[in-house]
Amino acid sequence: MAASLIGIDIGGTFTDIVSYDEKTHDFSYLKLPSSPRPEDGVMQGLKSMKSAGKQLHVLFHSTTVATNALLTRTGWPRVALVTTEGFRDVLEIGRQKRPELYNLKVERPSPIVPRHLRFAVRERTGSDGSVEIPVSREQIESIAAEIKKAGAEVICISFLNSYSNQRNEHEAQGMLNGLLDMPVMCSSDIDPLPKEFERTSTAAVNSLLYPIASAYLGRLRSLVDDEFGHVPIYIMQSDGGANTIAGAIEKPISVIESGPASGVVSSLQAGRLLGRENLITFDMGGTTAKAGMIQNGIVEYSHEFEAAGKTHSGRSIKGSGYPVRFPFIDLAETSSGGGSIAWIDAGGAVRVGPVSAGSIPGPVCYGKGGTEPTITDANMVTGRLNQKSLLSGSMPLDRYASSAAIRSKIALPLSMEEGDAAIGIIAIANNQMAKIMRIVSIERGYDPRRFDLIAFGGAGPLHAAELAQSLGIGSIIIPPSPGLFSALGLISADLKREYKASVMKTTDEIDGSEIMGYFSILERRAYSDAVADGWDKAGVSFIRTASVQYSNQGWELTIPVRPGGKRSRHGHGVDTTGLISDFNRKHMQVYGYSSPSDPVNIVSLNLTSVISLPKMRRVKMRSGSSSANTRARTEERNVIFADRERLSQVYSRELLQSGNVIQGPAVVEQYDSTTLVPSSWKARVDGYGDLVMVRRG
Amino acid sequence: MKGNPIVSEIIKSSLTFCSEEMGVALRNSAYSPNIKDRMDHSCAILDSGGRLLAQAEHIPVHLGSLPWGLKKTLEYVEREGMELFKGDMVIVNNPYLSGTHLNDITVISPVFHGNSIVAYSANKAHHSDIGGKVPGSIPADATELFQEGIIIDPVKLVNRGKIDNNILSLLSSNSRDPYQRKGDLRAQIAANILGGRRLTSLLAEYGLRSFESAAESALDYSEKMTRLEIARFPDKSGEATDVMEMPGMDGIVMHVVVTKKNDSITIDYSGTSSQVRAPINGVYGVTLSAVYYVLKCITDPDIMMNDGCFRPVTVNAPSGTLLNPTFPYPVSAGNTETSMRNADLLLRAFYALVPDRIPASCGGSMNNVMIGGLAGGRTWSFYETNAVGAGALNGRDGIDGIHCNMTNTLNTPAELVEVYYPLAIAGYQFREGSGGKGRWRGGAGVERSYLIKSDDTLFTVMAEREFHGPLGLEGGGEGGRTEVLLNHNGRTQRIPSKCTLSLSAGDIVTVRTAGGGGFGPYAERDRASLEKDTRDRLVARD
Repeated sequence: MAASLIGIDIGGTFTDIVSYDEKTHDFSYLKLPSSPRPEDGVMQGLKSMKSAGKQLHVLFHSTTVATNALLTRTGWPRVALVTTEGFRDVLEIGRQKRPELYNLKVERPSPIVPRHLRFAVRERTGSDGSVEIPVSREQIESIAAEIKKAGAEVICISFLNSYSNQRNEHEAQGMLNGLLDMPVMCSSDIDPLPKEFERTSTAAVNSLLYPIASAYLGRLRSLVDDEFGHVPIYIMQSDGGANTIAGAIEKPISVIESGPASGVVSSLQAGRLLGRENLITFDMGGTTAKAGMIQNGIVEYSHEFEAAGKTHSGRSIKGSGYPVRFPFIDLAETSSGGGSIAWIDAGGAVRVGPVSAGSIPGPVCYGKGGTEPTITDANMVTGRLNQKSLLSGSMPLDRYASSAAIRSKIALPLSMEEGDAAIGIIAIANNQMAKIMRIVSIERGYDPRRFDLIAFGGAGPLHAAELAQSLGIGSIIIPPSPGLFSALGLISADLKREYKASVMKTTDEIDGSEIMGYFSILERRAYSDAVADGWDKAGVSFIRTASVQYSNQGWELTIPVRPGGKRSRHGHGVDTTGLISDFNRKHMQVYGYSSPSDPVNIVSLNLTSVISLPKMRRVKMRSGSSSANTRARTEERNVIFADRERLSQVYSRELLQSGNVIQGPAVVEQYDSTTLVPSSWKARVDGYGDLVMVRRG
Repeated sequence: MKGNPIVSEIIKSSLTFCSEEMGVALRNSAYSPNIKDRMDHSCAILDSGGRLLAQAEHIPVHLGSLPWGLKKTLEYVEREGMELFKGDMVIVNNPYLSGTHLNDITVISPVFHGNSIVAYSANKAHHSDIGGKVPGSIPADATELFQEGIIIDPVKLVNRGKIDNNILSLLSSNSRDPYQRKGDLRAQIAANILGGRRLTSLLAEYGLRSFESAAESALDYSEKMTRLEIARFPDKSGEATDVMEMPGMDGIVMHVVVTKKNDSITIDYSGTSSQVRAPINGVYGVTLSAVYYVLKCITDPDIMMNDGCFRPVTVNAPSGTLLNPTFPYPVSAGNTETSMRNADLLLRAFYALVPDRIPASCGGSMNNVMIGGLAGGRTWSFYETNAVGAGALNGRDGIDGIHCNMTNTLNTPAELVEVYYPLAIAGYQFREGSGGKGRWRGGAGVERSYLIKSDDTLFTVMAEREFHGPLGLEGGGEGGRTEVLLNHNGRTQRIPSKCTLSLSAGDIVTVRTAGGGGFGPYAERDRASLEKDTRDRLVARD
């Protein structure tokens, strides 16, 4: 049996399973309906792969257990919060903002820890790290009794200024550990950075998820052990790295946004293979579209996110969820997917989404009872989708039903032609999706014209060219299996761990060797974690960054730290002058100005340890001539474009060979997706089977 | 592309995206935390006739006041014969023209298509200090506008693409944070340039005729949607009276009658007190902002905000009154405090029409705190606002410690305050015993203590609801009233909720903000809630 890397991505409706054989480079996949108990879904997937001859060697898993617990607010363990006297309600006041401006009935997310489980301790640490009032054993003892009485299951300690000195938190932790038999976590261990609300929230969310993650992952571990023996299991993190099961249990905040990260990881790998370092990622499925950004081969991270929060037209709403500080891949999202419904509102305007027909009943052309026209129906009517079936013939489609729905629901009420109505629906959806692409590029200081677009998800390749055009992007990559592309990211990840040291000093107060001293401490921790997991020290590499701001500012930028400057007893030093000028440059790029004469403050130093895991490698495919084999050209049909209808060639992607060139207007059909090549574009199949599209002229 | 409804829809949403994108650009390139972190700014696009086409605002007080101010400013520009060229930008902060208070500086740019102006891109941002008597420029004892900072009548800040550095330094040198002023003004310029560029490419793609017809249809659309919502209310009138507080001035009354007929609404402020020699006058733009805020809350907030939304509403605020004062009456707190009271007042009046949508009164103040002085040879100033308790709704308790109605800006993390200012936050929590009693209780206010660490520090507080508590509804009780306490040499005393004090190191000022009003009789409160009240101690005591 072939030893395989298996990736399992559990979504709301489907579980995607991909398997890759390291020796033969074969990969296979299957899609199963998700089961109510996620561990059953995983086991079912693994067993199906086993019966298909795939022996589990390493399991990669992206889980929604953490995010679902936060979203549904069910199964929450009782968390007690121990905090500084006078600051009992910081967790609930948050940033004092309401998540919706004009909703008089707005609600604040219910606090992770309710007021009666928040206990105040008379203690104080100054911002300079001096302990002004130590913790008293007597008071901790009486609080411990109350915590016990209240039936708490886990304790979170978060004291003011603990980022500057952990002593009081650790003392209280030691005392509580001696008094009670339950996990006790300190905010300064989980997120040792300033801003009391964000740190407390991160620590409280971690404490809440700890019992949940440990129960689920523990069950999964033993089920896999029983069936397949003790194979390694890795859990996808929000930053696109993988974590061990033990690591994910200890720090469940790292796996909250486990799912969406894998599409970007896949894009990063694809980009590396093709030598494309600047990519805008575009993932469009049945209900949503997501855009992300890779710059100079580095994924754009955000260091704080609203767990279980809401978004409004692509942007996350502050105060709508639970802030967590952990690097995550910051995607902009909009509710446009193949199933998004087009409708006319009371004012007579055409709208697309946010309501989606989903997969059941789905678009009208699926013939499963859908009656409202969707983006997929518009793609049908414009001739962009296969007029008879999808999934290589296994799913018949009814183009007349799409036509009738668009005609009666949109075209007739607005006295338009049916084709114009269909193209209009697509144009409106594209306009919304162009916006999320602008959010991740222009709004973050990047010019999209310098980027390639990589489009995936079942519907992404159908909209990619027109979107690229509206942003001035000249080149598009459509990977070989767009519909499975995200799941493949699971078996492309490295093992990553984050370590942070809070500094809060200006660059005048700290020199390169002191910075290196901080890193040495973090590195020792990273090495000892790696060795404990059975890795060789030599296999560990590090990414060093600093979170930097101008003094007085409340927001920081993450800047890579480069070796250089004076040598010290810690070996090579750190180039602080370079750090400052990099920061000024980045500030200029993101914010449009820099203040080179202002003092620069280092908030924290961050170390990411990276250990390479076995991963998928793509192999070259057979090459053919520049013109596609006649067998690959399946038909020609009329396709409606924004300006007019054009007779277009239709190709079967499975039959294309490396080197084939397709001139637009054309449509390329494959099992899990369809690519539109408008007349101003041409597509070439590269050595790995990607379809690389460039704009002519 | 053929088919006008589609093109209109795309142009319409592009206008909204454009104003949002300007807002992000402004925020990104701004220097002061007030804009960057607290997002006290707003961006808009107007047509050539000065009508609002799209607006992205982050705090409601810019709603309605920005378009009113832009219209007045463009009238001024025309009256004074200022000719506008490509690349020009006009700057203004005179509240009697621009619509709010002196801290809010507006920048307007014409957008050309060929040789004619076809639109304007504009934005407004709150500058944390623009001179005047006290750090933060909101002196509690101002008697005329001149004490509230530098006054700018419309003048060109940018001439044909070139920034006038004389004007820039004149303005920045009148601020306690000159460096921030320059940075923030540059950010405002950048936002308008971006807006202009977006509009130009929209015009290039679709042509002027499509643009203009889309703009017209967007206005009609918003009007139609607003009227459809209004038509659902019963034909009825509602009336409300409330008061503003000012030490030494009694009986400052605000009065309103709202009348809904068919699909229109009339709002009449007759009976409101005359303007006063105190900073609580709210210019007409600010009055409008509360009107549109309340309207947006009780209709569909997703209706695109443009001039069409204003058409179904007629507002009468007699000139020379608290809600439509005349130059040079001071106005700095009208923007923050009077606008809050106006929102309370309107909601109470609309309660007669749409009782199911309206909560009891909230804490009703922005609880502005401005601290500043000289430290290490540099002037510094710190400004923030403080949350209150929200009013209870029929069916739900009010939220504790949250910004309500006209503002929604962030607090400053205590840990950063301690590092960056000669201050420390000695405590920050819910204020116990402040949520109004009721079947549903009002939200609790907050209690925030400022420890002063350097001598000769000027401390200004500007709050409301010290003598007249937030009202309950249907028999619900009042929310706890605002209290400000000063601890000096270990002795604690009450100080007025509107005052400026000179403090020394070791002094602690505690601001205890008002709670929200309750809804329904307290006797009907259910047992589980009563138990929670006993445990949490947030509800008002007898």
